[in-house]
Amino acid sequence: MSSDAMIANDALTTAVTETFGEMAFIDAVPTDTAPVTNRTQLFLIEIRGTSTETVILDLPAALKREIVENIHAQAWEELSSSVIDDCLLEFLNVLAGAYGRARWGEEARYKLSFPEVCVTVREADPGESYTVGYFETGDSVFAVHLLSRS
Amino acid sequence: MGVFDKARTILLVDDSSTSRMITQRCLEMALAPGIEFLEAPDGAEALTILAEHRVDLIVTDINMPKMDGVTFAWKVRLQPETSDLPVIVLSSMRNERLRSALQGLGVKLFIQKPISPAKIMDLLEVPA
Repeated sequence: MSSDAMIANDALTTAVTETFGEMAFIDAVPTDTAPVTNRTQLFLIEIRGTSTETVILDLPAALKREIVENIHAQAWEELSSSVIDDCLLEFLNVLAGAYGRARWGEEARYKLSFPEVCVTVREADPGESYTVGYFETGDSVFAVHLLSRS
Repeated sequence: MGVFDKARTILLVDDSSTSRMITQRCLEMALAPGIEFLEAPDGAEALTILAEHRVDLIVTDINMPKMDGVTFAWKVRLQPETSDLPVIVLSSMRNERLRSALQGLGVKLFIQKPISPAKIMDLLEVPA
């Protein structure tokens, strides 16, 4: 792995652990074990700095629910779909901001795309090869896919 | 006198309702009870609220549709009725150029998302 790819991976780990911990009160720890569930939802955001980086959060349904319930301090059933969507998109937006800071430094200039939901990683960028990192939260394991283009 | 000391009515400006909710919750946890909160999803609607309500402090995001946080802070500074209002910027992005531009518009503080009560507590002594 090149040193730039290592910096990108470290930045991703920092952004994921920081955002899950500070915003959703969930401890997310890197793991080598891949998730076993197929029932996931993919959230994509692009961060454009000195390179263009695409981050895809691949979340099991139970973890998605836990994030929203923790942030709102309310049960999933009490929240409207628009509140749930807004919450997940803001979560991704904050995570992307944290990634940009960790990747290029506190004072770097970068832009964030509008977050999107996609069905498969290949649908996001067909033919591109993502690196993937796994994180565990106690109850769930989830994947984060990263694509870096100069 | 800290920037939050006189704040009895705070205007929260952010296009994300989740972000407004989190900010309000953190301010309620960190500041004295009894504060009233008003909300707007963008700078344009925030200016309408400012024309109709007395506000003591503004907490605004940067990236918003219709009118972004920089334009909003500039318009607040231009209007004689609101020119002295303290403005705090809350954003997931930060860079020195943007910071300097906003300081020139009288922005008092920058808070990086995700906001937390601890971050507010750390800023309580910042002068108004």
